Amino acid sequence: MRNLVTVACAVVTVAIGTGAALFVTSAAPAAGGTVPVSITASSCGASAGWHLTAGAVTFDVTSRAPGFTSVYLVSAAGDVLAELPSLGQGRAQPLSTALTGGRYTLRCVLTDATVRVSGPLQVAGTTGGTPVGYRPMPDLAITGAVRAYTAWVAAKLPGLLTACRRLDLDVARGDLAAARSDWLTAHLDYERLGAAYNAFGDFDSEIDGMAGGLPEGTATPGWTGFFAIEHALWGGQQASRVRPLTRELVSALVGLIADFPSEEIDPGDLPLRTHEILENALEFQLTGTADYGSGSTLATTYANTQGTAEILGTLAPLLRSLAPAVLSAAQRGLATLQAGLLAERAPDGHWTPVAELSTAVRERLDGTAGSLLETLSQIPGILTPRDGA
Amino acid sequence: MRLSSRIGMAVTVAAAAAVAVGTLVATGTHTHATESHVRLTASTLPVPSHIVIVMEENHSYSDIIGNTSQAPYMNQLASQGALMTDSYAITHPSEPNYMALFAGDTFGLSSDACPVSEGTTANLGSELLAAGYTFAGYSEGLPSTGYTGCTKGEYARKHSPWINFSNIPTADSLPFSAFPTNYASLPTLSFVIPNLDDDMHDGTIAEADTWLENNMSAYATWAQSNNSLLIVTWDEDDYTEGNQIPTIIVGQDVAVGQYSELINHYNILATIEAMYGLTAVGSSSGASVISDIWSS
Repeated sequence: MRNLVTVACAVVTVAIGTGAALFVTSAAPAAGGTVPVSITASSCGASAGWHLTAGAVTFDVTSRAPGFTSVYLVSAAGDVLAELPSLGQGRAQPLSTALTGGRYTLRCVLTDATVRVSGPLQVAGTTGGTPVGYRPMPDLAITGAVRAYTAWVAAKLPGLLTACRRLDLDVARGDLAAARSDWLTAHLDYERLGAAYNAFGDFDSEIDGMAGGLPEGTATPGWTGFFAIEHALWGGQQASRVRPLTRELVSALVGLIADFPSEEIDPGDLPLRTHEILENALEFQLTGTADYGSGSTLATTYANTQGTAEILGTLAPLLRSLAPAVLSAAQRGLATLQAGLLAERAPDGHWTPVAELSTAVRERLDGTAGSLLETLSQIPGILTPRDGA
Repeated sequence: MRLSSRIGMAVTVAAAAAVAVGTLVATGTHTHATESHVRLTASTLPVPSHIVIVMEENHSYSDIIGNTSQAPYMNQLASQGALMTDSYAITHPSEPNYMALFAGDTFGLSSDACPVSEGTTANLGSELLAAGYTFAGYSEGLPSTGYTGCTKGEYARKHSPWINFSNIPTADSLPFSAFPTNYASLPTLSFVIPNLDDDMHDGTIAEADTWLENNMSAYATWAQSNNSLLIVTWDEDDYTEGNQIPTIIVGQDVAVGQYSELINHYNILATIEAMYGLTAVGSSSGASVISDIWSS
């Protein structure tokens, strides 16, 4: 949720010139002004409105309304250009932005959800550097996407369990070559579920915890899950040493499947995970940090792009109505990254270990992923609930 | 955590006086009962014969209040009692909020861990029992009285916090099917935990609204003439920093209206403890008592 807070705060902390004139209706318009706005239970600033010239403006907002009030500066098209997510009674905060010519209003959503609207804010002239607005999304609008994604994850878990059981049986009969092949299938199945990890609770670290941060690293007793199994399978361990790990993996999956119906996927997680999954891939997979011997981190990255595509597809109907250009750019960027990754997979299915990538390929993948992440990181701000805005 | 973020940005709110505001649900005026046989404490709190607390899940104030198409009964209830317009959960996710309301502490929980065991730590149920009152938790779908498993079908232990304390007899953890039809036989205080389909966790708002009306409306009516209370509240909102939740208190000696003082689960707990003269547990100690919603 840190990103949401950052987004929300960033809007209100834009540096703006101070000490300019005060503008009220019929006053001579000028730029760089400060406008006092008083909120009460029955009003949201001046009912008569304001006249300003294009440029930077700071609203000095004071709330006398009970509880917390959210304040939105909204364009004539209905887009939120600046916001104070909540302002306590008796408190004041600046709401700063830059406005070009047009008609705007302030909308105050009181603590009891009543909406008060200011008089019109008329801005004359033009200026650049104005913010891109957010088309406001009601809180409940994302409910359908969360349900759909939750159902998708629930439907994937039995297949993941089957893959883990196959791995366990390989190890049980001492066929470590088959185990190494089936390990990858199972691990990639898990890596596609990236937006749900938070809802998996402690099961996630049991199933997919890396050794980083553990007191004795890879030698830490109790280190379990896919990476511990990878470390053992590719580290020359005998089957009898690997078996406890694969049995624990199956056991954790059984526990997760029993627990998942009572868990909740935080609706705020879905928009965040559209970029956080690939952020992790960039940090741990494309660098090879998460390679415990199999050299399969490009395959993992590709599975992460598939997981991202699943979330993006789930959120697509919302994004199509709220920010179609962002959706299109994200889909294009994802396709480019996937094509770049697939180019490093041999016809026999073998993926190039990242350590063997040429500098040119590595730079191209990093660049494609970075550019895509910039696009995806806009999504949490777009899909922040703004009821009443 | 996210509540802290919000408060950090918004700066601390000054607790509002009990002013009824808004136009969405009620008229904002207080009505005063003309006669009452309710015993009042020195601070004019009622001492209800019975309190039933129904816990709903994961929706914000504005998801419910004013949403008369999906939650007609809940909005109707809000107009029959005290609607707390500035009520907040403590944290995310679910379980620490249930623990906060029941025992005044989140116990360091940042997940819906199961099982949680807090032994003999004092809680609302144990304090009631120690003072000679009675307590029960009614959980829809609980497989059997005293069941301690984490989940079974649409039942989830994380929503039934009394199971986490050894000082609550297992006999007090009952399936909702044991909820009496003779309301006078209810314990002094009970929780009702609809299952995951009926508390708007997995099911829809409309399904939860229908369940509440079908299962609790008769009690809500009864409570208003039998010195009793129905409290309907939510564990948390769905994910925001704000974490503002609906809290509705209906019953005899509740002055109908909207109330904008800042409250959270600890204030609800502190109010109930004050009603029965219990020792305040955890963070409910020092939390202000809701004293302005009562007609007297």
